Order: sequence, then structure tokens, then C-alpha cells
Amino acid sequence: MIKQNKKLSGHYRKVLLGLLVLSSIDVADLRATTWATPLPNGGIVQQQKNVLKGTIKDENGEPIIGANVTIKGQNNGTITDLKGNFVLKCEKNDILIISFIGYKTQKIQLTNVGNNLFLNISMQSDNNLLDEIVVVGYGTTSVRKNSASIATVDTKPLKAVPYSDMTSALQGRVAGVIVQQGSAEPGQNGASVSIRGNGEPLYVIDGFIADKERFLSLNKDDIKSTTVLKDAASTAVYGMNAGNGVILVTTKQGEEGRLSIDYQSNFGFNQLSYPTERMNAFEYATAINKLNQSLGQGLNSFKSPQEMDEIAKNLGSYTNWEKTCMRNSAPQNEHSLSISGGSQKLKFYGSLNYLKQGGIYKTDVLNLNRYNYRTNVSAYFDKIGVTVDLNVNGSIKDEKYPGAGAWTIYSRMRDRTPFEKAFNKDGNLSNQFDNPMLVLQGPGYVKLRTVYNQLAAKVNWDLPWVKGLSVGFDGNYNIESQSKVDWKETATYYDDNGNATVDNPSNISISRSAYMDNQYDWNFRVNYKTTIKNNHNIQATLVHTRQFYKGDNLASASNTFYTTAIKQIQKGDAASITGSNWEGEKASMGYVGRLHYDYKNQYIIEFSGRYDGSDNFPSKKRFGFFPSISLGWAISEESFFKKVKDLGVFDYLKMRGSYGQIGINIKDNDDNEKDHWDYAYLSTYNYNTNAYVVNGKLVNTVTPGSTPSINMTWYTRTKYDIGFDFMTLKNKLEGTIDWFFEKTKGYLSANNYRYTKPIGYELPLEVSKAEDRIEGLDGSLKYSDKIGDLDFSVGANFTLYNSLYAKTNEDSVTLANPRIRKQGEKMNYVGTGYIGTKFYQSPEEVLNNPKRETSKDLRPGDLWYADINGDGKIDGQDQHRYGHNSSPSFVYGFDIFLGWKGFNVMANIQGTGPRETYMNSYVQGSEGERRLDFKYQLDTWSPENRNATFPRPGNNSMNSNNNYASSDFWSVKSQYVRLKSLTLSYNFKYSVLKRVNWLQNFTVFASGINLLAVGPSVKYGDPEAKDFDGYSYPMMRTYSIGFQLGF
Amino acid sequence: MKKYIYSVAFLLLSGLTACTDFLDTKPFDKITEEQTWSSENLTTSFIYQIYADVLGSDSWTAAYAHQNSCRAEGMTKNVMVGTLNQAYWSNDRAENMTKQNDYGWLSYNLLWRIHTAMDKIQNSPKLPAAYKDVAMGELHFLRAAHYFLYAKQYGGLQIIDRIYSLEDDLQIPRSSIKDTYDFIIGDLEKAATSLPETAKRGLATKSAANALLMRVALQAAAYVDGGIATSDYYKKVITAGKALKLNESGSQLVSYEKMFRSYEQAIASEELILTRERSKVNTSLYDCPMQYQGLWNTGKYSTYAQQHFPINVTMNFWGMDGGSWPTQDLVDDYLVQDTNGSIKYWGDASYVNTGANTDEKMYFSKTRKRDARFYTTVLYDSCMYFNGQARIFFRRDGNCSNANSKINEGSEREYGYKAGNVENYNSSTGYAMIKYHYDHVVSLQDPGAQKLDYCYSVLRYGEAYLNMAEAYLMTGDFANAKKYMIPTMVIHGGFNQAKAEQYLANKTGNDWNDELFKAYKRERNVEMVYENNDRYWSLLRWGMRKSGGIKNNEYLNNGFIIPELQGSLRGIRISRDGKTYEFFEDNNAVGEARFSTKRYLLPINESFRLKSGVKQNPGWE
Repeated sequence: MIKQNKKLSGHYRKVLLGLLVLSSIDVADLRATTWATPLPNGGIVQQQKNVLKGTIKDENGEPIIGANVTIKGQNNGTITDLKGNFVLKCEKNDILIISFIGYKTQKIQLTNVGNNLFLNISMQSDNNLLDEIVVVGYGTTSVRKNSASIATVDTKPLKAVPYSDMTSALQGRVAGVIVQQGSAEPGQNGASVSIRGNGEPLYVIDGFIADKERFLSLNKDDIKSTTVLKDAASTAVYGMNAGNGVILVTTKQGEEGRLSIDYQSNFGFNQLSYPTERMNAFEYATAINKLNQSLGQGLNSFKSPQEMDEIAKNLGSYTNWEKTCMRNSAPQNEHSLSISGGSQKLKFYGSLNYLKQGGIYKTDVLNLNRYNYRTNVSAYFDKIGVTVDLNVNGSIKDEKYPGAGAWTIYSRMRDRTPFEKAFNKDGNLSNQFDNPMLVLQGPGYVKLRTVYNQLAAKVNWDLPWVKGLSVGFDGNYNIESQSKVDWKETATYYDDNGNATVDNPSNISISRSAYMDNQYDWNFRVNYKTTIKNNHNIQATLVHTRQFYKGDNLASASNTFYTTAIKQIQKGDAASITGSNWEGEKASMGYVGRLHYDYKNQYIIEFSGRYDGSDNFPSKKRFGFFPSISLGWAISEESFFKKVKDLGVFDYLKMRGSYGQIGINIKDNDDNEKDHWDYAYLSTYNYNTNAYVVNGKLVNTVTPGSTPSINMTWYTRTKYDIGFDFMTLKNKLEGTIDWFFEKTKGYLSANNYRYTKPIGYELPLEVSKAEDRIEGLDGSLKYSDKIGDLDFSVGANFTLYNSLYAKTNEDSVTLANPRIRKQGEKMNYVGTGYIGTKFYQSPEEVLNNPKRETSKDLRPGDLWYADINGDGKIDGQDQHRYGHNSSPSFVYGFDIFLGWKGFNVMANIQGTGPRETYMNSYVQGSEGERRLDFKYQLDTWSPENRNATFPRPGNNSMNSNNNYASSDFWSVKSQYVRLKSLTLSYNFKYSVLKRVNWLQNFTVFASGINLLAVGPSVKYGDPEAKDFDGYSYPMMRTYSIGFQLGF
Repeated sequence: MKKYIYSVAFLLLSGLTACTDFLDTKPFDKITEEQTWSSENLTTSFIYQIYADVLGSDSWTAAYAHQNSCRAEGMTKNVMVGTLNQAYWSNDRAENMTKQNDYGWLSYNLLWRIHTAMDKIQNSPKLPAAYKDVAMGELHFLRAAHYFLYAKQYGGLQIIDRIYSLEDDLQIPRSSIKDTYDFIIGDLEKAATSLPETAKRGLATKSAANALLMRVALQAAAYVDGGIATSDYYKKVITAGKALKLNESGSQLVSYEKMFRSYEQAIASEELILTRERSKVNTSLYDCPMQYQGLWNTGKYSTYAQQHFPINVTMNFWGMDGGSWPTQDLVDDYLVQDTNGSIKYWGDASYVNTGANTDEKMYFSKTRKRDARFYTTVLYDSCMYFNGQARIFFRRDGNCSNANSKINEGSEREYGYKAGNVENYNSSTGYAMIKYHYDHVVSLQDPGAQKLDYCYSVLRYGEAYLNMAEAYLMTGDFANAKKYMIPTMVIHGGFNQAKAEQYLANKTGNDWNDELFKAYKRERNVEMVYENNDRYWSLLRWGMRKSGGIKNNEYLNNGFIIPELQGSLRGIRISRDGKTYEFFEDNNAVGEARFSTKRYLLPINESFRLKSGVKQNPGWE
């Protein structure tokens, strides 16, 4: 494992940190001047103190800006200026400590002091950062000691990129992580995240298990490090919840040294990334005329030639629904402020963050406001060796949505034709059926406020009696609560005659709901770390951990409001008030162990595992053991490798491998398998409310619950991983590559092999023989260098995998057609249906070839399916799996960084391998006239247009739906490469602000997301979307500008 | 130091123990099996769900679900379904079904629940004997009702009368039609003895068991015995009818309108034997038949119509494209009282010649000369609608006649513009349905927000009278048949008793085209339209009688082709001035109504059949 972006981070940090401390340089200069003032006079020399001057340079002789120079045991210290110079007063035998991130810390004892002493110090770059701390589950490690497959993400370069959530920020940056965004609706735009093709990973924030929502709403400025745990060795410590991998986030702590304050503002706007062009009135009328003609209704049955001429002349008078409902851009801005500092005994970090995102609708009915705060305080009681960390953080999320969801609004927008109108001639809302503007201009809304607060404390005690032994306790209590109000009221609208329809009071309704989720976790830890005879490093960790959740909600509603001034439930019709609530609890616990041994960091062996329990299972079957082992061999440290090393080709090479079994105990919607529903093991009956009416009154009913599955258990995922980490070309090129293989067993399934339906109840879930497999490679490579003043780095990463249904629980009917069964097949096909589809180009082709029995009216321009089994007819037996679905199994990304005299350019390019998107019935137009929307749908087959995108005009009732049956024809290639983000910045500290003492950093930047995409499906819409139908909130392109200030 | 070690050890130990308790969380929203069967209250609740499932599966709204189309009115020529008679809705009427269709099968889960309840109730030491008796009666009744739904469709069914376990042979064969009907009738006879005389609304009574028994036994007589006069099943119908105390004066019958046009009157009406209600707490227009009856107007109709037939209220966000437009075929069945008081087919009455306009010839808005059920069931040209909000014109260029329907065909040629209402959710036959449409309903934007109580009739005396009449008719006792036909004609149809007797006086015979049988068919259609798809199952029953019943999977007489289930649908085109009218025929892409003899028993879904191993019905292999 090599840290992603590490070198970039090295350079970036060096520059940034340099800049951050510029003002203190000036302060230090000032101070030094004060101290030095007497010097020229030579007279006033402070007793015992001498003035030491020096220059600090790197291996290339370039000055290091902002290096820390302190004297051991004293609070005295300074920082080097732009030329690498420092001045400090000192005494004989003081130990000078010179440190700078990315370089080895030096200690110099001043055996000889005098007023004219000048030190030329050359710092050694901390070679390959092999010893930098990497956070892993329940502990830390370093690249050198690590033998598992993990990747760290440097989130710092993301600071200036206007990502509104963290998942998007991971896209294209980490080997093994596949992120696909589907929508950009404010508050709803969490992308899907997969580690090596698996389902939703586990999220851990500051050592406590969190969830995706928490990860999404993190202030990205608070993140110190993000580690992705991929293989068994790294995830075993999370037991039965970690089968899909883990994303582990650590937030910033205060750092010893001077107080710093950072502020960043950015102002952005969102536009549709790839808006699909709609037909204008003329094109629409043409399409409908053609459709009707196909359906046997004659030429020009929708609009006559005269009408068509008229339409063409007055195109502007018809409706473009997108332009009517959406504005050109939606605003987005973010502000963050952080403060950090402290001493050896007390460090603190605090931050505030505000994010505002607006919707793309023309009216301001959709927006998101998010407020985050965090304070991390760490106290060290040096006399007893105790560290106490307090971490208080939280967020408030305010969401406002229109009175209908995005799907409803977009579907209504799509279903309208240019001949329909949102507004009447007098500008009033029209009575158009399903008028999207009725919702967008209506007084109805949905508002949500979600508040999250977490209080976490960590105590660590280095036991004074045994060196290396420490015990610790981590605890966390968090509460998430939400208040939601849904006010339903329709705007007044008017028919063509100007008759108003005012919302009837009984139509106006309100529903409110609130929930509160309480959760606590605690870990009790024992760590032991020792080195025997300088070479044998041993590290052991034992943790006992528990999580407990309890939550409840309350919902109430009423309707019939005669005044809308008061939006309270009791102001509606008293008889209409309803109420309901829910409550539940969940618990889990585990015992975690890890034993690490290495010999000179050269041979590494590590065992880790968890004895894990969950309340999902019946007592005595609640606990499982999830073990792992990993081995590492730093080949480059072998003597025989020295020659290679000396050639300068390989600086570091490590081979590592891991094996282990991890569990999956989550509600994971796999098409074939049942999930781990709560209490599925218990024999329960459901008490259903309001299910029948007796004597005019609703009564409750009872039904048997699902058959208790007393043998249910977690799925087991066995993971193998072999990887190489290397550094070459004098550490300028670093890389890592992993091969992985995962087998998932233990899928729960009712015994479907035998026909048992007549018993009348579902068979209990049992552990079935079904098995899935995933195999693949992931890796990354990064080259960093400096040429003159130009710092640059180029990184690349990729993930490639294959997933397979190794064994399935398919029933006898599915087994009958081997071409559509799953067993032994790749998982990511698009669907099953006809394949080898092309157009019948001539009547002869129709006549002389196999056809579907029901397609009695085949003509040229219809779809011609392959007769797979060669029986002379096209039927169900010719169906076959086809295509590669829209979840890519090959993704890659490039990270580019250029830095020159305060100018920085950062870019991320992301792309996918084979991928296809199914054109569903809406896009096909198979549902007829109201699904004809887009210009590209005009590209229908005709004798003059034989390579068309669509068959001859038609709909699903034509010719027994010949053309719109499931087939590979509708599976459209949708791989893409996109410039995911680009940031340009300039720091004025390099020029005009060089001498402004109080300012450490003033950077302005411009940034963009989703700027450019290339791929065969771009013409249909944003290539990343899961479909082209445009029924969901679209993807956005974001531009932003902003600045950073550091004091 | 030891002190510290001990305290650390103590902390560790306390952390590591007591883990079983920690993981022993419990659900807050479930009850246990044991709790259920030891409580009378919860046992009753268990049975309530079976009521909900059995009675809900044969509702009017089932028409909207394609799977249930065979049980929907759209199978007959009573209605045109969907906007412009769309192919999707008319598929089954044109006999386009195949063995790939899935019209459902016995719900095994429901049967398992019924048998679990029977088992637990009978063996319960806690429940009182009287309670057990009623509960068992209800369960038998519900099992019979559930079986009958599928017996009508498929004939012989798998007879499951107990809890089956994995040890049983689960490839359960279909029993014969006779055994299946006898099983159902056996259940109903048991229910009739143990159910109480009266019960809360929504629960079964003795009368409900008898009323259902009449319906079942009539079907059985035709399918099992070919409707021979001596069939024991007719005797069972008559016995049950006597138990229901049916009489010449129709003393249980109330005004037809009361049962179907408002909730309050429906629940108060003594005619309803068993109802299924919905509460306004969770019911809106979307959850009842009104959802499918709506008319639309958003002002998009011709200038002429806006001047002559103005609507000053927007009517939209309303019905759905399921639509259910009554046909002229249905309307023809409503008789009329001629000037001399005699009851006639409307076309034979004098008004056809004397009436100044269509209304005076056919509808008699002011004098209401047609069968009173017509005015409760059908909305016709120039009626008020939506609680008096609007006057509806279905005529050519009318404010609610579908611009794309045959009513307005050729209007561009005639008027130079597309006449009628361009909103597609408007009548394409010239009629709309208002039976089961509550009078107080007005047009609102969001039907989901218009909450209301609703009452469906499951079993009622009107049908019982006609079932009684049919049993006598089929056994050749025409005098008694007429005796039981007259009460609905008089009390529901609003005809004079003597004139009704006179109308039937000379009619006789029970063969298909015999006058008495024709009069009976007409009476039954106008009485039962839109209820349980009675028309369709009745036609099948009568046709099966002509076919001689099913023996060994074959029709004794080669199968009778039912004329009423063939041909085009008819609508009315009234002139713009309302003076004249003509009828038109309409079909859709899938063609006119078709019927062949295999339709007496519907196809069993092939993939179900392959798994379960049951036999396919004749003609569908």
C-alpha cells in the first residue's frame, strides 16, 4: 500500500504550509530583529543567550520555507522565512530541533555558541514517507509496517473543489473505489460507493461506526485523513459488518505550535451538465404525424401540412417545458472557518462550516442549507501519561422541497408537449393536466430539519509500569433528530375561459413527523507495543466494543384548512387528525484482536480478527469469529536487492498477501437473496391497523408474521489479496497494485428447489449453497517531481473486476433456459432478451427469415432478432443475457497537479470501461405520443435512414410490441471519460502580499466539476446517469470561484 | 500499582460479561402467536383480516387490474372500457387471452390462515363455545366465498381443507367440478347453521350464507348438472331462498338509488345482506369506483359548445383512463312505461314517434318514464353532474363528448373544426356510469384529498329474488319465476305492480330466445349491472345450461356460443341540437367481442400449472 496522492500532498503541503507560516516568518523576523537590534552595536548582549542565525535548505539546495526551529524543552522557536533563514537565541548545549513535514526531523546539539554562529542546515527529505502514520481500524500503522490492502485519500487538494458531499470527492481518486453519481438534487445527491464491486461499505468516523449520511454531511475541511480498507486483513476488525469494505475518516486535531485561523469562501453555480435537447413544436408534430402514420391513421393525421407550416412560422409561441420550469443556473456557496493550535499539553481544533445549495427550478422552492461545527480538544497529562480527547461535533441540515418529489416534477415536465401550456394568455397558471408549474409555483412544500450532535471522548493511559502498555476507553453518544413538515396546498389555476379553481379547504393538508435516534458506542482498548533487541517489533491490540441504538418517531396529519395562515395539525378538521409512532432498538458487540510482528520491517506477519455478535440472530447463534492473516515481505530491504536499489530503479518494494473471512449482516438488496431483516428469527404476528371496517369503523387485524428463520446467519465473504507496493526513480514514482479474489457464501434463501407453495406460508430462510465471486485488480501510480519552480505530479488509478454468480438458488423454470440462467455467469449484464438485433432492411428479409409468431405485420425498419436456437422462429427460447449494465466494472482516474510560484492547477479525470445503459420504454417512445420528447428520438428508421437510432415509428401496441421487447438493441454503450474536476488557484503571498505580516495565506481559486465528458452516450444525456429518460433530477456541472484566507 | 491493575481488570471483566442480555433486544411492534390465540379479541382480529382479503379480492375496482379483467364488467358488452375502447382494456373481451395470462388461483396463504384459525379456535381451551361456533361459521363462509371466486373461473379446484405440511404430497390434483361445488355448498350449509341472525355490518350472518348459497348453487346447477330441471342444486337455491323469507311483496327491498348513491343511505338500507365498507380515514376517491368514472373538462372544447353548453367549473385531476362508459346495449335493457301504462322496450313505445327530441324519445328527464334504475345507473346527455356543478352534454360537439370518439367523427368536415372535448377522459359512448357514484362528490383537483366513507354491496336481497326466480324458471315453474321477478321490477324499477304482471303475463319459456327468459335476462342485467360482474357469470351460467354442463372435461352438447358475448359495442351520437340521434358501432384494434366455447372455463396460467402439476382446462392446452 502506498498512500494515494501522497507525493502530491507532500509538495502541496510543503507549499501550503510554507505559505501558511509566512506571516509568522515575518513575525519571527520582527522578533529576531528586536532581539538582534543590539547586535550591530555590539554592546548589549543578553547574558547567557547568544543569537544563532542559519539557513535551512533541502537536498537540492533550495531554501525550505516555514521549517520549524525550536529548542528542546523550551517554548522558544521560530520559522524559516522565504529564503530559508532563521534567527534564534540559544545557549550552549541547547538541542536545536529542526522539523518540517516531509523531511526528517534533525536534532543538533549546540556545542559551540557565539554571536556570529551561522548554521547551514540541509534537511533530508523524509524519503518515501514510509513511516508516516496511517489510520486503520482500532489503531494506526505505517506504510512500512502495513501488510494489508488499504488506500489513503488525501482530501486536502479537494478543499477548493465545490463538492457538496464526500462521496463525489472520492470518485476517480482511489484505486479500488468505484463511485457513480446519478442525480445532483441538493440534499439527495449521494453517489453510490462501492469498494471492489461490492455493496455499500461501512463508514467509520473517528473510530466509531457511522453511516453514509454522516459521511456525506461531513465538512470536508475537517477531514484529516481518509483510509479505505479493502481486504480481509484490514477489515476483519469490523467483523460481520465489514464484508463490503470500510471507509475510515479521521478528523483534524489541533497541532502543537502557533495559533492559526483559516477561512474559505466559495461561490458557485450549477447548470445542467448535459441537457438533452427537446423537440420543438414542429419536430414534435412531425414525430406524432409519423407515429400515427405507422399506426395506420394516414398522413398528417395529427397536424395537416397547412398546420405544420403555421407551426414552423410560430415556433416561439409553443412551450419549451425545460425553459419554462428551470432556470439557467442554481447557486451554491460554502463558507468554512477553522481555528487550530495548542501546546504539548493542550491542543485544540474548532471549525464552522456553512453550505447552501439551490435547486435548478425556476422558483426558489428547492434548497439546502447545512451548518456544521466541530471542536476537538486534546489534553495530555504528562505526569501520569494520560491523554484525554474530547470531540464535540454536529450539523444542522435544512432542506426545502417543492410539494412534489423530483421524479413527479420531471416526469410531468417530460410528459408535456410543446402544444400544451403552463400559463394562459393572461399569464395565470393554466389548468393543464399534470402541470409541473402548478407544483413549482404552489404554496405546498416539504421542509426537513435534521440535527445531529455527537459527543465523543477518548482516554488513553500509557501505563507507567510497563513500557509500551496502554489502556484506553473511547465512548460516543450521538443523537440525530429530524422534524419534517409536509404542507399540501395547490395553487389557484385557470381554465381557458378564465374560470379560477381555488384549492378546496378539504384538499389542503399537513403532515408532520419527527424522529430521534440515540446511539452510543464504546470501546475498551488495551495496546501493547514493544521492540525486542532492536529488530523484533511486536504490537498487540485487544478491544471490547459495543453499540446500542434506540430510536423512535412520531407522525401526525390532518386536512381541511379554512385558513392557511396557521399550519398546525389541530387547525385542520379535528376528525381528520391521525397519528402514529414507531420505536426500535438494535445492539451489537464484539471482541477485537490484532497481533503484529515484524522483523526490521522486513518480514511482517499480522493476525487480526473479531468475535462479533449481533441481535439480528437467535441467542446462541449471535456470535461469529472473523479471522484474518496477512504477510508482508519488503524485498527491497534484502541484501540481495541492494544492487537493484543502487541502480536507482527500485527504492522500495514490498510484496504482501492476506486472507480472511469477513461477514455481511446488512440489509443489502440483492435481487436473488433475502435480507437480514430485523427479528427475522422471532416467531411474531403482525397487528395491522385500520385494515377492515366493521359497523363503519376501522378495526385492526392480525396476520402471521413471516416464518421465523431460526437458522439465519450472516453471509461470509472470504477474501484473498496479493499486492505490491513500490517506489522507484528516487522515490519520484510510487505505486501499488493488488490482485483480489472474494467468495461470498451463506446467502439466505428459502428452499425453493421443491414446489411447496400449497402449504401456504413461506419456508424459513436457510443458509443456501449460493455463492458469488469477485476477482480483480486495482492499483495506482504516481509520479511527482520538481523542475525549477515547477512542482508537478501525475497520478493514475484503476479498478477492474469481474463478478460472477458461482452458484445460485434458481428455481426449475429458470433452469430450463440455460441462456438466461445466472449460474456461472457474470453479474453485471443488462438484462435478458433477444440478441443480435438489427433492422429488417427489406421486405425480402422479413419474408425469408425467422420471426416472432405474434409479429404479424413486420416491415422494413422493424427489429430483427437472432434465432439463437435455430428452430426457425423467434420466441422465449431465443432469449439470452446481454450487455454490461451501467455499473462499470472497470474505472480509472487521473490526478494532475501543477504548482508554479503560487499558481496551482489541479485536475481530476475519471472514466469507465465497458458500460451500457438500457433505453427504457420512456426513451424508446414505446408508450406513444407523450413519451416523445427528445430531438434524438426523431432519428427513426426509414429507407433513407437505414442506420437509425430507433426503429420505424411505432408504439408497443403495434405489431404485438415487436420492436420494444427486451433486446440488446436498446442497450446503448455508455462508457465515458470526464474531466471530473479542475481547479486553478493563485496565492498572493507569492507576490503582492509577501510582506503582509498578519496574513499567512490569501489564495483565490476557480474550480469546476463535471466540466467535460466524452463518450458515445453523451448525446443522450449525462453519461454517468443510470438512464436517459430524464425522469429524475439531472446531473449538474458546477462552476465556482472562491478564496482562502489564513491568519 | 496493584490497585490500578485490579481496577483495570475489573473494568475489563465487567465489559466482557453480560453480553447475552445486551444483545437481547425485542421488537416493539409485534405480537406473538401465543398472545393471539389466547385472546378472543385478537382471534377476532385474525378473522377480520380474512374478511378483508376475501371480500376485497372481488371488488369493482378489480377491473383496473389486468389480472382481474375476467371478473370485470368490461368482459361484457355493457361497457366500453378505457379511453376510446383501448386495446389494453378490451383484450379479454375479444378473447385474446392465452394460457400465459394469469387470472389468479386459490390463495394458499389465505387458506392456511383460515385452517390455522379453525385449528386454533377449535382446540382452544379458553375461548367460549358460543364464540367458537360463530367464528367457525365465519371461517366456513369465507372459505366458500374464496373458493367460489375461482370455481366460477376454472371449474374444479384443488380442495384444501386443512393445514398442509411439508410431509404432504403438495402436487395436489384438481377435484371435479361437482366435488368443488359440493365442498363450497357444504361450507355454506355449515355456515348457515352456526352464523347468527344478525351481526355487525361487514360480518357474515345466516342470511349472508344463504344468499351466497343461492348464487353458488345456481352456478353449480348449470356447470354440474347442465341446468336440468331436476337438479338438486335448484332445490338448494329454493330452500335457501325460503330461509331468507323471500316473498311476493319483496318486503326486504328498498329504493335502488338508496343503496348506490350515498353512503348514509346505503348502510341504513335493509336490503343489503353483506357489505364491504371503507372508512374515510383511509379512503379517497382513488380507492373506490368513482376513480374510474370521472369526466374531464379543462375548457378545451369548441367555441360553439362553450357558448351553448358552458361549464363554469374546471373538472380535472379526476378520473383515470380506465373509464367505464355504458353502451347503448346496456341502455336498451331499461324498459319504459308507455302512455297507456304498459311496460315496453323503449324502442317499441310511442314516444319514439311523438317525442320532439332525443330526451323525449329516450330518456324522459322530466317525467322519468324509464326504469328507475336507469337514472341511478347511467349519466346521459344533458344531465347535471358533480352535485349540480355542471350540466354535461355527451352529444356531438358537446362539452363532455370525447373529441376523438365516433360521436364526433367527421366533425371537421361538418363544422370545420374538431368538435367535442379534446380531453381524452370523456365519454366515447354517449353515456357515463353513476351507479356507485355518490351524489355529494364534487370536482376537486386532488381526488386523493377527497376523503369519504364508502359502502359496497357484497350480497343483497335484490339478487336473491332474481336467483329464486331463476331457480323456478329453470325448473319450469314459470308462475313462481314471475312471482319472484316482479318485486325488483316494482320496487327498484318503479313500475306499477299490475303493469309488471301484465308485462310478464304472456311470456313463457326458458330456452335462450323464449320471451320469459329474455325478460329475465334483461331484468337481471339492469338490476345487477356493475355488481360482481354478474352479467358475465350469468351469461356463462345460462350458456353452460345450453351446453349441458361439463362431464369429464367436455361439454355435453358441444358448447353453446353465447350471442350476447359477440359483436361490436354500440354508442349513441346525438345531434348537436339534441333533436335527433343515431347509433354507431365501435371496435378497437383488437377487434369486436368474441366468444368461443373454451371460454366457459378460463385458462390456468401455464407456469403455475407446470409447477403445481394441475390439469389445464379444455381448449387452452
